[in-house]
Amino acid sequence: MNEPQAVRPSRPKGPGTSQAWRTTDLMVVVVVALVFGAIYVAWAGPYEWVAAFGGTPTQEAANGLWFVAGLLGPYLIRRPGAALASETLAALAEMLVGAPWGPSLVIYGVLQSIGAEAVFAIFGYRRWTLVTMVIAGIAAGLVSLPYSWWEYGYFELDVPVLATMLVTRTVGVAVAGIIAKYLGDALVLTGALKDTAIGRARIEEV
Amino acid sequence: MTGDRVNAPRIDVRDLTIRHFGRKRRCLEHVSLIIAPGERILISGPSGAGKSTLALCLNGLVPQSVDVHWVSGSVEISGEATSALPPGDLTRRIGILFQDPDAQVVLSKIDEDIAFGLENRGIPRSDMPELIARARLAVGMARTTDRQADDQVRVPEEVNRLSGGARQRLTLAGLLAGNPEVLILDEPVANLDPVGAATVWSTVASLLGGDSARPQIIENHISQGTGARSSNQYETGYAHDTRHGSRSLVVIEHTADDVLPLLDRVIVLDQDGRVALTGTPGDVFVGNRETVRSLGIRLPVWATVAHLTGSSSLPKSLHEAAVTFGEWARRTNSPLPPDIDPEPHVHNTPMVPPSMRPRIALNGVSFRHRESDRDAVSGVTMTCAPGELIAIVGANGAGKSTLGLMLAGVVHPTAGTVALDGTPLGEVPRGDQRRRLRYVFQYPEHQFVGQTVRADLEAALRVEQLVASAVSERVDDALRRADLDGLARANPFTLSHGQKRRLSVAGALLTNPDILVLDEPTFGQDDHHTEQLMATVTGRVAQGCTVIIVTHDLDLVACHATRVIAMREGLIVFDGAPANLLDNDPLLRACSLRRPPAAELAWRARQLGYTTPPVTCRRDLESLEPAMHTTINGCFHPVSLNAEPIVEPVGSSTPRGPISFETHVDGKGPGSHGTWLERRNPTVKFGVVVMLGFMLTFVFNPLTPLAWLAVVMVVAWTTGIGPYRLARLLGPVMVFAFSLLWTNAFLASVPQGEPVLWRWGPFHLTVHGLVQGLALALRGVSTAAVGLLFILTTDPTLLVVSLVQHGRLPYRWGYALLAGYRFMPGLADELVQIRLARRVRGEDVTDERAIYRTWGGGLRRRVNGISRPFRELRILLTVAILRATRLAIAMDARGFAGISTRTYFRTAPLKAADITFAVASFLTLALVYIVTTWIVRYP
Repeated sequence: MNEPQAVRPSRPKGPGTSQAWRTTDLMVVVVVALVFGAIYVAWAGPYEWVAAFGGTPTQEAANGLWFVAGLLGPYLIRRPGAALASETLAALAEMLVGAPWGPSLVIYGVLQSIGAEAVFAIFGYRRWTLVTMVIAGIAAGLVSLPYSWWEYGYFELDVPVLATMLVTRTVGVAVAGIIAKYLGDALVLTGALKDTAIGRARIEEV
Repeated sequence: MTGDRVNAPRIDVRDLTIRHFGRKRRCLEHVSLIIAPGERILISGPSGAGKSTLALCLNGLVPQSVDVHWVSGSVEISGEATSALPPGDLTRRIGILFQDPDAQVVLSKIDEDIAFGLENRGIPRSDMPELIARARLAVGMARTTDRQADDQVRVPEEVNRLSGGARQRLTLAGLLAGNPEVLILDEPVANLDPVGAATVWSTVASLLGGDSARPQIIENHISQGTGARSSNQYETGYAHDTRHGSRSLVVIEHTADDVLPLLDRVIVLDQDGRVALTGTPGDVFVGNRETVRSLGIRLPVWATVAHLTGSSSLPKSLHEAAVTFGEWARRTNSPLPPDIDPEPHVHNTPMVPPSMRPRIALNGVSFRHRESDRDAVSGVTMTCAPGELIAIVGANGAGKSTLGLMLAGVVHPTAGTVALDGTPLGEVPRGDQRRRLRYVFQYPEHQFVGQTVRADLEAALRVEQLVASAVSERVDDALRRADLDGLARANPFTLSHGQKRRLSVAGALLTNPDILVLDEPTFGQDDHHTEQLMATVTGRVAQGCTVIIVTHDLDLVACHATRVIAMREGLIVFDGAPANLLDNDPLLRACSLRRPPAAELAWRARQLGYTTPPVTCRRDLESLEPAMHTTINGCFHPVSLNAEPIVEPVGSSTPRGPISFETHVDGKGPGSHGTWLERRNPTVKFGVVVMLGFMLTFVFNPLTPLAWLAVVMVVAWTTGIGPYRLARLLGPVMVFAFSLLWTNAFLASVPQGEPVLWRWGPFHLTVHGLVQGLALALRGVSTAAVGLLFILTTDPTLLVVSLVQHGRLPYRWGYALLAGYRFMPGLADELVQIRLARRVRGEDVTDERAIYRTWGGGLRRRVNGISRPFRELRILLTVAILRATRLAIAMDARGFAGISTRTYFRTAPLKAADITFAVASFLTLALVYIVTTWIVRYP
């Protein structure tokens, strides 16, 4: 059958952006952000008990989960800015749902996505393998490290303790990358993402 | 703006062929049609004929917002191709109402939601209140003032409290406020209960009502006990505005009964997306009766009346139809003596005489949802025998689904007992229960466990542990029956609404349960598929299966059920033969039910003094031949009007919304309500809180955060938040703070000369570390206290609006966030449903990776346990994403795409008091810091 290519309609142009997103992309990222905002609030309970008895090293490992939204959003949408948007909105959502940390969460949202956004940009928003996701996760974790350690005063701790924390943090965020990839792939299999970049890339005609 | 005349454009569709992504089959095939200015058209066709896609093409959402393979053809609006026109312009001129009420409302307050489309079009804010008020009046949702509230049903301003029908009318109001030239209604009542549907149609009718030739539909709906509100609109709002005479209307529906009097022309699509028929309603439904029927489209009752009398034109009103029918009956009947009892309905008697022993027995059964103060089902005692086909009917929230869930053993009653063949359900082994009881949920998406249609059906058979060949044979057969054989490899979530439902029902029909409960199995199905489904169901009933159907479709009930149970507020108010329910007008009204079109016709004819053959459903009417002899007495009930419950029935679901906030929607913005802290501009507050937190990170003594915490507590107290409540909410943070305390106390680096009090392995306690830990812990708690105070005194909607207006948050992100935020609370309810649905389908027979199966049983179970949250998360995200993508299209349909200048209905102004507040906050913290450090240094 000699069929022409899919129509690439002109995207709705928003002010100040050259390539604004479709509303569908926007809404997918918002949903990821909101669902994870709620999960983040729910996670705070176990996280804090783990932290209370396991101390800062376990706390750093458990920290990884807060990075998943910022990795999952871009994995599904594959557009510049998706990491920044998903993680920041997830933090905003976490606040709206009622996390006691309030507005300071939004700062973390931005910081926790910059590293990942940079990695995805380096790969030209084209490579979405497990390795990319793990690297992006680690980058996100390391970029946000100085501020969070400063805020909680960790730099006062012993060097071996800090080294352990660095390792557990890296493992935690790497796992976040794996979770994001696993969850993203599972979501594609459900077929709900047929209107997004990842769904389009993998769709099979029946 | 509102006074302008509408000059509807001419729409030309030429040779349009479209294929969806992921499908080989085309969805529309060489469709050509013209919609003339002001024309009122019905587009009908079997499910999957591409009706909805065609609707999306008409206003340019395909291809502007939805990508498809556009194979050939063009759509032109007044001669300009839709692909070339700016999207904002198109959606302004052509409004569309979709079927899912939950996937169209964008914002959480009525006025704000109506304003959303106006804002996107850059309409000045000063014009909005009047436009909104007019639109609300037109759909019968005028704002209730306090003075009126006593004698009227109060319209809640919270969208989440509206019933489905009211939400559809709200979206319609949003469209009308923008004064579109063409109105497209894509199955607008498919998800509504009968009364909700009637109110939507009567609203539409009243909007078009300026034309004196068409007031019948109003009368039609009023006579069915629903139109009290609409008759008022008829005299107000838009009704007399002549410009509505020239607005075009395109309705997409399976069932034409409700819209028939409105129509100029009918276009029928066939299975392959081709135009099969086009012409006046009379031409199509009377002249081409057999073609319409063979396409699987329901014939309107009036068309059958015309057919009976040999007329080629349709009756113009219910009255005329009833008279025509009555006269026809008089001509063909020889009336029986009036003292003879009405004949019972032969086709509705059980095919197998019910045995003496009930199969399932409920005894004093009640169910109450957690966090509800009222029973969803209260004190129900009933039995079901083998060979019964029982319908459960009633308004939304009456407890129908809950009763069905208990009959199938899916949920356990909070009081009372359920017994299966005399054995309490709790004592029946789980495997037996799973095999003998089957439940099909209302939302098919919740219960899909396979990644292809075939896999999903195979999962249904796994409970029976058949050999592979038998499975494959039965699955093939089920696919054929459900008309899904071409889609065996498709993913269930990519199916159309109708196909999804057929798949979920087919899964349950694959096995041979003793009790089968189907929740709304025929929603959104065309006639052909409904009949096919009911044939299978009645086949099972004949074999002795007990089938219970929860439904709004009273025609289906009248046609097939052997017994009907009507529920109201958790109680059974009727249990008996369908015909008796349909004759009981007060009862129908009390249960928000509506006589189906065929029964209504016969009832109306009897009211007019005719004796008619016993017609309770469409099938009775269609089976009539010119010679008919049985009659029943016309019984006369007084007619009175009934208003639709506009409010979601109390207790039908758990309260929505994570935290409830007082909000201000009168367009005045903040500043007029709430405590002094609530009145502050959210962006300013946001900035202040962030800055305060940042400033605290430079503090390393415990006294400053402690004093600051005290200040925050006092501030909280002035806004009515007591210290106890604040402390309780800070609980989790305190746990976290404890971690900071001990890690620092035992693990902080030891400064030169600092004595170590205790040492064990890497742990070493120092005074320095202890002080350090205390400082950091208190710092964390006080920062969180400020954050919490912010959350408790800020309205989320206003925060986002303010961040868009003052905080450089891009409006597209801000409004997308608000739209998502509105439907999120509903997802919690949905997760509960998903859990139930997956338990019904059997957790261990899901689409687990093969790897789990190869591992040992115990380990496998454990892995299953760990992966369960992930699975639930995946499904929750899937459902949320589906809803979000639907909502995205609805948002674009209201002009969210391609905005040039946007205005705002709700504003968050910056005031001098906000600046004072910011400065005062910083000064206070500075003061606290200076005083406390002075104390620490010079004790």
